[in-house]
Amino acid sequence: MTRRTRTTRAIRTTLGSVLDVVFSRDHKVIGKQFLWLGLVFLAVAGALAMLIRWQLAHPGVPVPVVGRWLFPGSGGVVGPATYTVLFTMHGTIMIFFAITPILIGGFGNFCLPLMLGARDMAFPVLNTLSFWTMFAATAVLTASFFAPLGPPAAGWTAYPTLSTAIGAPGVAQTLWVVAIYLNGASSVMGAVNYITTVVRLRAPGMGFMRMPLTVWGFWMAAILNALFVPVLAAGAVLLFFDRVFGTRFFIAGSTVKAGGDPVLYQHLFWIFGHPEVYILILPAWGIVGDLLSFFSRKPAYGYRITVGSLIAIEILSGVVYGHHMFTTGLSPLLGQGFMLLTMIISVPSVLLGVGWLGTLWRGSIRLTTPMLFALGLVFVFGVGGFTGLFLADVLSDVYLHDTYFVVGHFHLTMSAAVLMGAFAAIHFWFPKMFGRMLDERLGQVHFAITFVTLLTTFGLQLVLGLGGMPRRLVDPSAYAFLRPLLPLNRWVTRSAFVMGAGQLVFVVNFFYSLWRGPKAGPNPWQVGTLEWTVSSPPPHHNFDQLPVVKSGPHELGNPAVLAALGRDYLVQTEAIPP
Amino acid sequence: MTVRAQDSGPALEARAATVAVGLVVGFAALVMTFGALLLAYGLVRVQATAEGAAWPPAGERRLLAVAWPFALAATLTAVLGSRAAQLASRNSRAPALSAAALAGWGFVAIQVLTARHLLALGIRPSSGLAASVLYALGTFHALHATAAALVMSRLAIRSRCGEVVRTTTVRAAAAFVHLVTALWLVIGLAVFVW
Repeated sequence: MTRRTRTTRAIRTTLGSVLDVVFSRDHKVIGKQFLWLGLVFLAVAGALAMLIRWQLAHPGVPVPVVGRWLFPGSGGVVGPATYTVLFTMHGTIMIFFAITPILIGGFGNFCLPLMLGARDMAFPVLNTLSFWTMFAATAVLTASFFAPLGPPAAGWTAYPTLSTAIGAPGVAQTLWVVAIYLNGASSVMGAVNYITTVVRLRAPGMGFMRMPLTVWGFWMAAILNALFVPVLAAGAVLLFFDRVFGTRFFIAGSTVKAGGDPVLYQHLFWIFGHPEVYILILPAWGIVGDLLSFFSRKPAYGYRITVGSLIAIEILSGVVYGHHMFTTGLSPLLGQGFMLLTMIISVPSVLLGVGWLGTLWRGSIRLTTPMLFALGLVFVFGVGGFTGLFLADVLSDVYLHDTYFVVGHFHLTMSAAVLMGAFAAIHFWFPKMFGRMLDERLGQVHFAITFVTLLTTFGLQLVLGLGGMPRRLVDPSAYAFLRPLLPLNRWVTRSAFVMGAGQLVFVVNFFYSLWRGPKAGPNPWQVGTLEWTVSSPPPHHNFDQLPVVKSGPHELGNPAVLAALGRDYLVQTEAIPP
Repeated sequence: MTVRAQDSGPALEARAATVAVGLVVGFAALVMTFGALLLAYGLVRVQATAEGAAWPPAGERRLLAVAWPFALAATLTAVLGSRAAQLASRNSRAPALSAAALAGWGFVAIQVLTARHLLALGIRPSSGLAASVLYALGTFHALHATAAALVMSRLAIRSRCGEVVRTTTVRAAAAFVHLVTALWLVIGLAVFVW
C-alpha cells in the first residue's frame, strides 16, 4: 500500500467518523447538538436584549464600543427602524431558537430514552431530520438579517398588516415566515418521537405512574406541540401566500376590495401562542418536580396530584387563548368566558406549587446548584404567575394591555422561569452528558447573580408598566408623561447588563468543566432514576440489558431502604425492601 | 405468488405498533394544520358572504367533479396495495401500488390544469377572497398529494424491481394517501359545496 493510498484512507475514515457524529441518529448526540444550537442563539438573543436596554436607558446616545460597527449609518445610535428589528429578532430567537432547542430539543432528546429505559427514540432517523430541519430554520432566519431592505421588523408575533407585503416589503419577512414554518416542522417531528417513545418504549415495569416528572413534563409539552404548532404553521402558510402570491387573507376588506381580516391571524397565532407558553414551561416544571424531590431527599409530595395538575393545565391551555385578544373588539361575552377559563387555570397551577412546597417541607435539603435553580424557578414563576391574574381579568387587562407590565409578566414566566429550569437541567445532567462535573462554587455565583437580576430586571418592568409605559416604544423620553420613568428604565438596564455579564460565569464554568472538571461517577447526585444506573456519559446503546423497573422515581429517605442497603435512595430497578 | 407474510414475529409486530402510534400523532398534527386552515377559511367566508360576495364562485365546481375520481382511485388502489403487501403478494402488490401512484399523479395534474385554467380566465390569487381560498388551500393540499404520489411511486418502483418492501411501510404510505383523500373530501365539501 502506497503512502498516498494510506493518507486517502485515513482522510476517508476521519471524514466518515465526523459525518457519523454530525448526522448521528443517537438521541444523546442529537440532544447535545440541540443544546449547542440553543446556547449559541441564547447568546445572540441576549446580546440583542442588551442593545434594546441601552436604547431605553439612553435614547439617542450611541451604543458604546460596538455601536459604530453595528450601526454605522446612524453613528452608532439605535434608530427606530433598528429598534423594531432588535425586539423582533430578540423575541423570535429567544422563543423559537433558544429556549425550545435547549430544553425540549436538548434535554428532551437526551433524557427521555435514558429515563424510560429505552435504547433510543422510537424513530431515530426522524430525530436526525428534526435537528437538521431546525438547523435549516436557523440558517434561513440568519439569512434574513442580511436581506435587502433590512431584517424582519414586525415583532415576534408578526401581526398583519405589519407583516404583510405592504407593511414589510422585501424578502426578510418572508424568510422569517419560512424559518418559523421549518421550526414548527422540526418541533412536530420531535413531538411525534417523544409521544411515541413514551407510549411504546417504556422499560418493563415503567408504568405511567412510575415515570419521572421530567418525562411527564416533556410528554405533555410534546402533545401540545403536536396539536398547536400546526395552527401556527397554518397561519404561516396563509401569511406566506399573502406575501408571495398576493392572496388577501390578512389584508383588511376595508382597505382593498374583497379583502380579508388581519385579526384572523391573531386568532391563529394565539391558538398556538398560549399553549406555547406551556410548551416551554411544562418541561421545566417536570424537571423541577424531580429535582426538588431528589435534593430534599424525600418523595415528591402528591405525585399523582402533580401529574393530574400537569394534565389539567395541558387541557386548559388550549382553551384560554382569547385573553390575548381582549382589546381586539372581541365580544364581551367571549371575553368573560376566556377570563373565567384563564382564572381556572390558576387552580392546577397552585396545586403544582403546593406539591413543590410539600416536597420541601421537612426535607433534608441539599442546596446544590441544580437545587438552587429549581428553587429559583419556583419563586420566579410564583411572581410571574401571580402577575398573570391581572392580565387574565378583562378590566385590568384593558388598562395594562401592551404596556411593560405585560413584558415583565411574560419575561418572568416564559424567560426567567424557563431559563431557571434550563440552568437547573444543565447543572443536573451535565455530568451524565459530558462525564465531568460543573464547578459548584461558580454555579452558585452564577445562580445568585441570575436570580437577583432576573427579579430586578423584570420586576421593575412591571412597575414601568403600571406607570403606563407602552411596550415597543423606541424612545420613552419622547413623551412628557414617561420622562419621570427614565431613571427606573436606567435601573432596569443596569440590572440587565449585570445579568448579561453574570452569564460569563456560566460560560467559563461550562467550558472549563467540559475539559478540566472532575470526572463524574455514574450517579454523582445519588438518585434513583434510570439514567443514573449507567456510566457517565452513557454508552451508545444506553443499557447493556434493558432495565426492569420495580419502583417509582422518588424512593428517597425510606428508613427501610436505609436499613437494608445502607443508602437513602432506591434505584428504579430495585424493589422496596419488605 | 402468494406466500405468508414475510415480516411477522413479535419484534416486527411491536415495530408496527410503534409506527402506528407515530402515524396517529403525525396525522393529528396534519389534521390540525388543515383544521386551522379551514377555520381561517370559515371566518373569511362568513365575512365575505355577509358583505354580499357570491360563493362558491361559478364554474369552479368542475375542479371537484374531475379531481374526485382520481383521489378516490388513489385511496382504493392504496388499500389494494396495502392488502397485497400484507399477504406478501408481489404479483398483485406492484400493480396496485403503481395504480395508486398514477391516480395520485392524475389528481395533482388536475389541480395544476385547474390552476392554469383559472389563470387563463384572469382569476389570480389576488382576485379576491374566493380566489385566495382556492389557490391557497388547493396548492397546500396539492403539495401533500404530490408527497403521497411520490411515496407511492417509490414503493411501486421498489416493488417492481423485486426489492423487499416492508408491510409496515406500505401500510403507512397507504394511510397517508387515505388521509390526503379525506382532507380533499372535507376541503371540497367546505369550499365548493357549502
